[in-house]
Amino acid sequence: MKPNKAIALASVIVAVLLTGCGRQIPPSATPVPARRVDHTPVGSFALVYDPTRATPLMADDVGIWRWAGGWEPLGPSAPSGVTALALDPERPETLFAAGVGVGVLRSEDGGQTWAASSEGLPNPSVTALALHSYRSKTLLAWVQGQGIYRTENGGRRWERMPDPGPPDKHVRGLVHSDLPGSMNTGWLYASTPTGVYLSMDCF
Amino acid sequence: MGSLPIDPMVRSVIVDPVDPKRVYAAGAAGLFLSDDAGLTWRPASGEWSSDPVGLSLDPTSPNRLFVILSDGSLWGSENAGSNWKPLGAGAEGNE
Repeated sequence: MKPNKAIALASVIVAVLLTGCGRQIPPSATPVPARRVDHTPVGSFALVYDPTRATPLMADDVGIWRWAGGWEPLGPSAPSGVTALALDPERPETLFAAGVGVGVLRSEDGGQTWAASSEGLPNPSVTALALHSYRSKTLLAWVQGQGIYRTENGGRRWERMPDPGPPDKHVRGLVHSDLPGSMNTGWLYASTPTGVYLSMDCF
Repeated sequence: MGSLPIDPMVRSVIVDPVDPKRVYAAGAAGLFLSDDAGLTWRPASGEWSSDPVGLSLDPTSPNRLFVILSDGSLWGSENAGSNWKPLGAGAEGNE
């Protein structure tokens, strides 16, 4: 990363609001076969490793899939249009999915059913999602045209963070790191068309 | 070691949970690896015919990486990106 692409940003402590869960998401408009292992991924992809199943999970334009020597549907009602996935390592049955037009979705049963988890987000245009490196109920999301949002209660309520984000606002991925040296709990990397940007997680 | 290419179109970045200085970035310019938290980068791509667009690792064995390419193929590495092989039926021996 070029030196001028490393940025450190101001700190603000944000109050946490605990509110209710989201609504249930109906099955996707395009029915997904109960089991198919020859699926060819379509469109944009997101990948996350599931340590319980010891295999990668993948989201594409059509649905969410698990690798079993071929791609098979993760569940009967996987949402479409997902471009970001996150998995709670302490509770691997808890999955998060996000995308533009999707917002944030949460599954508590390994992807069998999904519920909206977007309360507090200004719109459903979420382009990136990251789980905190050691606080499993803290996630960060990039909302297109808005900025960084954070939840500290597993997606029940999101709040805007003061961090303005990287100079390139076309954020396509976020990842949290517990690399030492932060003023707070770690660092946040953002992937963009112009490179990788690093911000101190001090909000 | 060096910088990422200009306008690398990075799609995905991941961090090694055991060694947080190790960072991987995947995009149109390929896969890159940093061992100094992103200060410098070196290529870690396989013999791929399309761009890596998705990236993940096994947190219980962080040298075990997975990449999905823009053509939809899935590749795996057991040694932090030094070698890659395609996964799936018929992929064995196709390294």
